Amino acid sequence: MFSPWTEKYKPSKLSEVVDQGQAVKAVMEWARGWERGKPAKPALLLYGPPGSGKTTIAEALAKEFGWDSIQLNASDKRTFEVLKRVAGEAATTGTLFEGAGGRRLVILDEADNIHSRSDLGGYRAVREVLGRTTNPIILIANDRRAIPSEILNSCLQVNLRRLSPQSIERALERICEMEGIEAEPLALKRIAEASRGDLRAAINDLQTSATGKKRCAIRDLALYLRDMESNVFQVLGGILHASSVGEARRILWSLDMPPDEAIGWISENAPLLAKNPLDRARIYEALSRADIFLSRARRKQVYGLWGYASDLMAAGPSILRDGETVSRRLQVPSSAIAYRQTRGERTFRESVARKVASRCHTSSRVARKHFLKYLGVILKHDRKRGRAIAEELELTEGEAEYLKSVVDL
Amino acid sequence: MSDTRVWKTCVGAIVNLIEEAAFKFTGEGVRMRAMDPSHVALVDFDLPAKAFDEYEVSKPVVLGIVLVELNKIMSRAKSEDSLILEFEEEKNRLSLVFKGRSSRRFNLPLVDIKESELPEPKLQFGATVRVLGEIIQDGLRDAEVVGDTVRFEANESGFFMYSEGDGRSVELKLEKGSEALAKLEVRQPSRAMFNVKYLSDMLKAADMKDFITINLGTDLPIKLDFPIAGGEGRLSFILAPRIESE
Repeated sequence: MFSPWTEKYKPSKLSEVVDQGQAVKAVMEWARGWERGKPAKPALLLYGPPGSGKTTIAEALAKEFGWDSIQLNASDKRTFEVLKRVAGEAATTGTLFEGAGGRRLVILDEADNIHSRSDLGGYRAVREVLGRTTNPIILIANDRRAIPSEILNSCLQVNLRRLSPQSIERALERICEMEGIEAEPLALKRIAEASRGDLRAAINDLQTSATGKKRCAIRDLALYLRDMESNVFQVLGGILHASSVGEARRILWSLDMPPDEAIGWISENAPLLAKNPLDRARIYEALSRADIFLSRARRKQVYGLWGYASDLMAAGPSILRDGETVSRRLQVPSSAIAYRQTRGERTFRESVARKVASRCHTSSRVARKHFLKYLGVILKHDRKRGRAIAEELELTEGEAEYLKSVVDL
Repeated sequence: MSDTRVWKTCVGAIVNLIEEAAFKFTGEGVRMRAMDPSHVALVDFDLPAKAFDEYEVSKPVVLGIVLVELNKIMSRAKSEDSLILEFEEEKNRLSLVFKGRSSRRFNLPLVDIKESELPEPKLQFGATVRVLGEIIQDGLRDAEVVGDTVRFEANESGFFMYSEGDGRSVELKLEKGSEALAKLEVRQPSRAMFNVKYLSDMLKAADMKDFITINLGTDLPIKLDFPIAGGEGRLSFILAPRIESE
């Protein structure tokens, strides 16, 4: 039977976890606190890039402390009720084998992804569970900023670093040794570098290239290695100058970026490169069609449509062009820049809208559209009532400031 | 099997705790053991071959059953129906035939479930009591009125259930010698607190006139044993206690 090496060589002890010494120390310290009773921070947030060992550390911790553990993933239906029932029960009840003296670790995987999946108050449930828990809880996330601050505040936050290529290389060497694989040192080095700190990806790459061969040579690798964002400009240039549909498509696919993000890059740059206005019109036509497919894919959750979008946006700019191209520096899409600049503001807007929504029994979209401005006026001009509202909604300083600023827009 | 009630009540009680389960059919009978998704409750179901009118299993099989679906089907059984369970291997489904005045056949596709080897928790219980199902049910319904947890207690003087919440409280006493208390064996006074909802769900497996065996230990899980199929089979639940916060 096929068994992924990522599972087979998963550390069962914290001391075996690759290269996260400091984080592991903090985690152990937190767990020891639980052995003595409920600590001030009942939950732990492990955040860091993919493949840096978040889940592995959580699982190893449970084993090492002899705790029972349950794991809830984003693929589970994470509605308010389910979370409250499963996580809530697990968090306040003893274990089947040791009774009230036994501990159970509740692992909430992809904790930065709860709300966006179903607008059903997942975070509210998490908050309630955190408040009542008598068992240790670990939240796992890639992006800490996606988690509401009230939840962050009751978590001890531990950051996992992106693993260094050297430590990934060493981990790969160990696996090769145990699997009896003869590996060219340079090949392992390449895999480690291409993984960009993602040990899981590195191990998968190693397994893909070495399975059934008992050796890992550098010339077997080329196919598997990911082209990472670092060369997005290079890829983009390739697409815009591709000479056939097939070529453009291959180049786009080698870019590890979802099409709805890639289209931003392409539409920012492709039209600027074409000298002839007619070419520009044709390119825009193809891109806007691609965009229609993308939004259909998103709305109807039919990601099969991405294929059509990709073809249109990859092939369109290169094939539909008759005229010359201008050579100029490629640009980061302006939407990405705007996004980045308004991130702080958007975070506040979303968190306030969520709070208002849950208090006013409406969706956060309605709250955002119709409520925020009025609240802003009240907060700005009526101190007393403003304060009462802020208290009722449990607004943070930043959120209150944001509301006031809305009025001026 | 001539008595559909066994399946109906057992499935009806288990379905609230577990969504799907692997039933193992061997020459000796049917077994199922599973934990709920919170790892808080364990179900142990054991129906020996002799509890069936006819029982024929040529080789042991494990059938993954979606309990919600099975429960819907079982709710269509009439009390005078007899039930025939058939496993159709090539179609990977279970067919259930209700034989009464007519014969009705349901087909239920099976799912892949890993058969998990759960060990039975070894617990040193301090007390064993046998109580009439009706009494426990009343106690739980009372408890639901005031709170979401209930404390079970057994000592030399009897068996008690206690619940409180928001200033309200309720207590049920069953003193030693009472008719509804068939057995009171206390090696050590024991008490522990549990989620009412889980217990109520489990009690759905009980016939009100049956006696339920309860094993209790201080801050230990509780074990409830229900006699099924006239005492031939066994359905037990183990439920972990609430951690009482100071």
